[in-house]
Amino acid sequence: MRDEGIKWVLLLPAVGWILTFTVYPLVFSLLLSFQNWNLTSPPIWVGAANYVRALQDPRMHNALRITALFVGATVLAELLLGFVLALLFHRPMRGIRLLRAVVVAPLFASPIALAFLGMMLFHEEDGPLAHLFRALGLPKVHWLSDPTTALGSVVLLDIWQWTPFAFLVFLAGLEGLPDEPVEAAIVDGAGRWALLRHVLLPLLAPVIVTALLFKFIYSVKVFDLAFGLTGGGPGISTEVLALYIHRQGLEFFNLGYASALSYLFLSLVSAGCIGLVLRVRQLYGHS
Amino acid sequence: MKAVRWGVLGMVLFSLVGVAFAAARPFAGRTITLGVFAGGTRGAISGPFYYFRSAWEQLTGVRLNIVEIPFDQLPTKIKTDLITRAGRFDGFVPCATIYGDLVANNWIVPVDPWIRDPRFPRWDPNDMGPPVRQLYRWGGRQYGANYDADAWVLYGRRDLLNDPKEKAAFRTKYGYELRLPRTIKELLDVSEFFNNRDWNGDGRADFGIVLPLKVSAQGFFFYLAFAAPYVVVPGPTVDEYHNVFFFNPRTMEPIINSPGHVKALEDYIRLTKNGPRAQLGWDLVESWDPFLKGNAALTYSPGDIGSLAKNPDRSRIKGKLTAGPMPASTEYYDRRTGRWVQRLNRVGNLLGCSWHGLISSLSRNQEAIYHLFAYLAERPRLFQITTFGWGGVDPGKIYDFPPEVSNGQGTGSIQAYLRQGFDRQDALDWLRAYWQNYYEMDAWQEYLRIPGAPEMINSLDLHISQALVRRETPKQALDAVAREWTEIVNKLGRERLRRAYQESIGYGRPAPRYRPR
Repeated sequence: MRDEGIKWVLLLPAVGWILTFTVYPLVFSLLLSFQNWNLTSPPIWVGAANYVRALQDPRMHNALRITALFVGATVLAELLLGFVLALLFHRPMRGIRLLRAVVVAPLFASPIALAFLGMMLFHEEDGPLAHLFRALGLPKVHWLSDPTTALGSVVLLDIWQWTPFAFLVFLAGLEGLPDEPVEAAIVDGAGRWALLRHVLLPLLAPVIVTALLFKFIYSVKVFDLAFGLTGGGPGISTEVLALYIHRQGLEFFNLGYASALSYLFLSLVSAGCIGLVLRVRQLYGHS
Repeated sequence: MKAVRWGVLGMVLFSLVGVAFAAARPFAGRTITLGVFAGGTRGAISGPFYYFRSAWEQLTGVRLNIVEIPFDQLPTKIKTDLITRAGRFDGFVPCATIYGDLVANNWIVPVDPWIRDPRFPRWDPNDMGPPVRQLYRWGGRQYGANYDADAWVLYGRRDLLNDPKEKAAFRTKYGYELRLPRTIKELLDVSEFFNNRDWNGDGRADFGIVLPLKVSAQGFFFYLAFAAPYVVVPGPTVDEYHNVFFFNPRTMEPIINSPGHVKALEDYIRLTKNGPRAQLGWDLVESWDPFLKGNAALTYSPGDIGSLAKNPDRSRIKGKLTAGPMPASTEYYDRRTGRWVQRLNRVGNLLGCSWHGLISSLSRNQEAIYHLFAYLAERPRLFQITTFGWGGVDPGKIYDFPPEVSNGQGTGSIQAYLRQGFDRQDALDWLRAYWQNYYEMDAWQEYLRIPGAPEMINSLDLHISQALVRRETPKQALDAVAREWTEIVNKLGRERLRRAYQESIGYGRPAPRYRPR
């Protein structure tokens, strides 16, 4: 009986922590999303008006489209590149440790510092890329001044930083695979492509799903790169959803509207994650 | 007995000295915290506070904590401190755009009771040029002690504009004399003339004009400075139709999509074509570099260009700089008659932040922090700060201007600027440009500092950028801004904002004019 009591006492700090720092903010912001509050005057209950406004807000639609493009491009490119790199480095080589360390280095850069680095890298008149293109006689690229290429520049920076994450995950997955199925497939005469498609990919499915989920969630939340590199521009061509929510909440102090946007955002991310997991289960039959 | 008497006398004397010392240093032992724009220990706005910190601490016995805050986080940090009643800052030095929120919520205190109080250093609010002086006030009360005065002026290359070959070529092409542009038409012609050709002989095409057009990076100021003469109708008083730029102050209907604004945005887009396309992604500092490195003929900007030009680490144009007020338009739109008026319209601006210290109503050390602001606002000290160049404090006080640039009315000395490394002619042209902007214009563009101003400015900033990249036409862009501003006005309360706007622009009062004292 005494042990039972101690068990509950020991659980209390964790429960308290979750209630204070997870449940309370969630409930508070959910209630806030049904109110108008700019901190300087008392909150006003407005029902679902903030959600209706969000659904009709062209800037929110734009931010959603930009975020979807960003997520699609970065997740696909990073997973593919990361996988290729992992295959290349999954073999005995001289200096492999050093090479691996070099490949993963960008992962440790702060995104906001990376954004400032990008400002120099993509400087259209005096940046290293501009000089390189000029030296090679290639046409000038409007890295940050054209709405289409500006989003491409943000995507490129993200790929540079996060491909090492996919590389690390896949490399760990490859190194953890049992040798027998691979050796058996080779003995059975499987070519490289068949080995990859019918042995490695199914065996790596849980690892792929994990990398996909993590990167999907991270990409959807992107803020720093767009904030630091382009400020969301030119126009609103790189204004991702997190940046738009930040502006509504912390620049304009429209806390109710920002909360409603956040909840819509949360719903979309959750739906995306659940959809991904279900699809992968369907494909590979793994739990 | 004699020894006891001397002892008692000594103790009395010691106590008297102590009392006198304490009276002279009434705030000794306290610690105050100042939130200020992050310019570093020898940079804009925060630099002078570091420079004089030790001297002021010795004078008052107060310990000064300086908290540097990046530009884009400054309003949020200050407001959060006040909203949550944390009271971390005794005072702060914000951009004047957030005045509306600060005053409307009684978050700052007026300094009028202390200005003539002999316990504090003496400074005079009337030293500041009349239009800027208004930015330090609200509803007839003084809230800030003199510090910075910001405005956008036009900069050009004196050597280039005086080059006989360039002058001849310009005359042949445009049919009139080349000079630093005084009208918008001249600005468009001169920037076009120098754009996209190698006039400095470095093997690369140079630019007619460079501007920072990146969103969320002060780019909107550049449209505002350009558009002022198309929209602001001079008149003796500030009323529904005169001396206003953003709203009709009687109804709070936005006038941001009026024909004057639309024409201004169309011409502004033409102007931006006379510079590098890359400038669509440049922030303020990035846009200074091509001009300071000698690759651009023109730019317009706050006062920093004038002071950076003397710095050999940043500039190759020392001794080649000229400046003037923002060009006038040759026509303006009169909303009262609904017609364009064909007349030269010279409109000064107050763009930028005009940084100055404000006192938190939550502070327990209000007099101590006021002492600091007053100390820096004393004439000789503030003049010295202005001449530093690196301090980010631009000329605007009567004593900043030497007589030779101010028709004999200024009381400053050019020697002080020369001692800080300025080139004589560069400094004279720079100071004259500021003098003309603050003291000799037909009218001044008002400053948007009502509650909701940051959201309104963001909307303007984004739609101008959309028009610059041709995602919206000028009319579509400004109609969208007007729509969004109307929503903001309705959301925050039309009557509340109307009152705030009228108070902030001095509605119904005479328009600011310079009268020499």
